[in-house]
Amino acid sequence: MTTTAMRRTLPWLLALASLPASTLTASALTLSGRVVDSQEQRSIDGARIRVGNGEIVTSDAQGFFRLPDVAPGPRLVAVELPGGEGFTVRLQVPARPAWFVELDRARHTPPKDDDEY
Amino acid sequence: MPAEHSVQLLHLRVNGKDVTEAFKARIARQGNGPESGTPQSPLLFGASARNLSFDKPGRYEVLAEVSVDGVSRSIRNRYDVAAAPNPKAPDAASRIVFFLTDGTGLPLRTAARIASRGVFEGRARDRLAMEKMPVQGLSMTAAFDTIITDSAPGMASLVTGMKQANNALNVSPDNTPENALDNPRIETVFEYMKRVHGWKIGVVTDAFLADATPAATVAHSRSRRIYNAITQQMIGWYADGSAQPKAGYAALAELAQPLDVMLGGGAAHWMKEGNSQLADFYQYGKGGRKDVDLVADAAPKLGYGVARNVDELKAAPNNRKLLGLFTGEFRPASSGLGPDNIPGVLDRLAARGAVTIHGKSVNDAELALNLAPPKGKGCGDTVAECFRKVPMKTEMADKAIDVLEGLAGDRIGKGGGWILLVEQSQTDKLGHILEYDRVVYEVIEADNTVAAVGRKLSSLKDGKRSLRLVTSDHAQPETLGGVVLTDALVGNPGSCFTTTNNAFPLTVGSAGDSNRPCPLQDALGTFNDATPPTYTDANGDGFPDDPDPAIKLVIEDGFRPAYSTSYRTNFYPLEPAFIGKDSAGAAIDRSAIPNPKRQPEGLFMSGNLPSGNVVGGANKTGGAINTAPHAGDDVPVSADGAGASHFSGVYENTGIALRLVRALGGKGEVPAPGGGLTGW
Repeated sequence: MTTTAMRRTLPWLLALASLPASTLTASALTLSGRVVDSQEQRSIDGARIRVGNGEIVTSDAQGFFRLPDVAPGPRLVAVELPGGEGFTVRLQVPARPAWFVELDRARHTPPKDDDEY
Repeated sequence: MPAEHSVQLLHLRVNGKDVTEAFKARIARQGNGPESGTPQSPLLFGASARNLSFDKPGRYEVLAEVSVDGVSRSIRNRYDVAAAPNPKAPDAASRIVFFLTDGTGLPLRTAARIASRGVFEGRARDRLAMEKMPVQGLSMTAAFDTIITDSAPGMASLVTGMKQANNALNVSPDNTPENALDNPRIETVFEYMKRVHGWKIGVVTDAFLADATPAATVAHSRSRRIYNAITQQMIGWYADGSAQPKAGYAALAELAQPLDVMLGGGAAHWMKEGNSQLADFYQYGKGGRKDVDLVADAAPKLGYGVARNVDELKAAPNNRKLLGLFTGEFRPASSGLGPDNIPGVLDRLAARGAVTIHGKSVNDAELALNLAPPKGKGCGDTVAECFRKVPMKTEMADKAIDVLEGLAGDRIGKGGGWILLVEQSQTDKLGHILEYDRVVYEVIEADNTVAAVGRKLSSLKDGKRSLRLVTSDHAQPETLGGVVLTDALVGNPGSCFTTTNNAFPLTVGSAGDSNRPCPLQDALGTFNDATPPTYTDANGDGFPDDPDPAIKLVIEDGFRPAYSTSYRTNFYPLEPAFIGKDSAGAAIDRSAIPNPKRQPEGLFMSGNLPSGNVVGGANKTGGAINTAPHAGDDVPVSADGAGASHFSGVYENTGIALRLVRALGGKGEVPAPGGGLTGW
């Protein structure tokens, strides 16, 4: 990127949170992630996450989840929130040992106001 | 994912120099909490050292090493840093007007040119002011995380030089979703020029002021939608117990520079619930803040005057900061804009008696203008009177420049100056709801403002050191398909669009089709049949006198919700589609149907947004399918005046920030490696 000598903070450290604590080496990988709502500024506890017709896992108290045995390739990740609302995220899952995704409700559901964008 | 044990920072290096201890000391001084962006879990790691600068141009490589459960991991970022602005340089711009026509791709410029200037024997009779500018370029608009940007990174990338993620305003993502205000922040050109050089800064918009484009000049938030915090940042009001707290945000208050002029809509994000003006003047049925009244309490303490209509705007002093909040499109019959956004150009002109809509004028019942405002008569006795008192964009820009001139004073040209963002928002908002004819009027108003501002800048002392820049944050999937002969439709309502089973016809019928005897096929002229339209401008105001002349332009979206059309202009803005509901009134998942109030006699136009987008889609910020999405097409850039030559070419949208900085006297070369990192 090219930019000016302006004041900014250092964003890269935060990416470190996405590093998994352990690594796997199979062709199927562990998809880790977090279910959040950036508009309501919270992580989402108890969301049910599923890739395709695979196993359903539930996010923990801080919104984190782990889905084992996700094959690389284009995948639809379905998220069902407590209360029944849901959304779907399209992911291109890479052939890496592990991967982290942030699933943001605010990004994938319509805004409450119909006059933005 | 959380680690099993606390994550440790091992090394942090900038161009090989170890700054680990300085970083840790900085974080210790800032303290835990939002000031450092501290995650709530001790097993997550992340900290933001605030308000640092690369103080010399060059290439910077930043390397961090951490230990995650005993495993060492590293991450590397590279920054190419250009020379900072130097507004004292003799050729540097000292006034910049940045026109942002939201959601305006090339087809809309073409349509506005044809509608306002006309075509004769294949040649445009004249060109738009933005087309006459000597420098033209193209901007590539993809966001950090999607090739289709929304308006938040769409503008934020332009004013920072850093690609950003959808929904983000001048921040990078972090791991604390519980706080959208503590993300790593990126300074904008507006902020830099005010903070370092004392420039004055302003925004003019027809959207609500907290909307993404105007907010992107100075606000910092991972979520574009937390409007109440954003307005506080825009005016510089930090208070514990309010949407934008003070404790934990000292670095934000130091970085985010308050705007000196703000003119737009959206009073509900500024006024406290219960402020009688919200209903009586601004016609809100609900809404308003619960924490603080920025108009009644903050604005006077911070030295702002307040204007609510064109009369108060013109009367406002030019030596005082100014907050203008105008009434919105509050007609109950209308949908898609609402009281947050000021009425569209066509509707403001109709209220002024300057246009008719399909032959109907201000006093005709169809336009719903000659009625009492629904919530009170604070803005006027009729809707039309309220709309007439909403300033036109040319009036807003003119006043904003007067105030910025007054505030910047005689420092202009001696290192001082000002930047003004003039946004045409409803090129986008009305495009989302497929109000194509209205969108064309929006582009024309933007262009008229470009021309008027050009004349004004020329009249100012040392006016040649002014830059006018016109671009867009993204396109929409609109294209110019041809024309329609509206007269062919008059007198045939319904007869064209009925099938034997009374359903929406899926294709255009024809006069010879016994099942659908429809003259519309003959009325719609594509390709060889697209004879030049017949717009007129008898009153010479630059706008067509009626959006429905005998032959009019037809624009369609490549990606769109289901809707129906008779190709006529709606008498007021209407959403094209609703989320479908079953017989019990419950929303039907993954379905949108044409708005039955909008041209129900029209052709059914099949929606083509993937059903998967309905719940969890990527078609725009939120995944709604009842409005059209944004598009990924490159958008034009036009420039005129001091530093304009930098804007030639095809470049990333982040390149606009770089070119602005060059226009502001920053040198173009980037030597490597760079100098140092200051601010520890």
